[in-house]
Amino acid sequence: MIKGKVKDAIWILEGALAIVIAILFFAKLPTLTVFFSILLLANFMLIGAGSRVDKMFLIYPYGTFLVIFWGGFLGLFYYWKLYYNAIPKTLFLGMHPGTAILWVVFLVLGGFLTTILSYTVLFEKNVISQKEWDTFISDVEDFNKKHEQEEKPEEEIK
Amino acid sequence: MKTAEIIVTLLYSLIVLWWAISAKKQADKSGAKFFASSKTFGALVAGLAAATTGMSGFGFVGGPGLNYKFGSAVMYMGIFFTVSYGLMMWLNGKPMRMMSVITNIETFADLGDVRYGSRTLRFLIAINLIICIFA
Repeated sequence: MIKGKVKDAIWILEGALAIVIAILFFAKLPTLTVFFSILLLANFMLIGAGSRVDKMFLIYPYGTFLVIFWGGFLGLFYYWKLYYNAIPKTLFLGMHPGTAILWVVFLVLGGFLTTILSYTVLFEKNVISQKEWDTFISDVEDFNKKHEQEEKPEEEIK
Repeated sequence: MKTAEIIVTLLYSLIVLWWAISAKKQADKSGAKFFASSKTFGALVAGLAAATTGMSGFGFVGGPGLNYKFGSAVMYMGIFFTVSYGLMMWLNGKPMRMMSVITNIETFADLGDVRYGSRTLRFLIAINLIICIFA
């Protein structure tokens, strides 16, 4: 799904996003900076999965990652403004709402359950299957054998 | 600093130094055994190694220092530990593994050298890593 020119276009998009993020950061627009930063990070998943991207991949982990992190940061900015320089009235899991978002939304939901777990769960389907890996290894062995055979006559001449 | 603390620190440093030197002696000249134990690491060991790398000099020593200086806002750096490790796997895991079968690469700088045949690129990757560590 993502290969050749599409992949090149995403790499160019990543570069453009990096420039946009830098401009927004220096313009002191944190919400927009974070919005594009998350998009930049998520796109690396697309590039990594490459031709193995399917509709399901766009939902989990790619779409899930975007939704969780965009939602998490929106919540973070909301509570940041609400309780700025004040003790929060409501606590989530006994923590400041911003800290609760950090641990639950970012680390557990967005980090472990989306980014890292998805790699393990979808490895066979979206990274490389055992069958393809075995084929790759046998191709490498065949190549090495041919390469050795090609080198031998030259050595004999010497 | 108390004398006992100095002695413990020196002893610890000497043990670590001895450990490193003895490990290096056992390693190949190519560094294959030294960097990745001759590529015999499984996924679990590789994951634990990645986590301990993050939580070594930077996370365990630098983190509390930054927290002391800037306050609890520094804790938000933790977001990028999990995210960057996940993205690192998605982006680099497969090509690194495949290239390590074809050629003798142990580090990311080696990959740059082998893929593009450029010693300069290898040097630049190493410099980039040093900058990132200090950043």
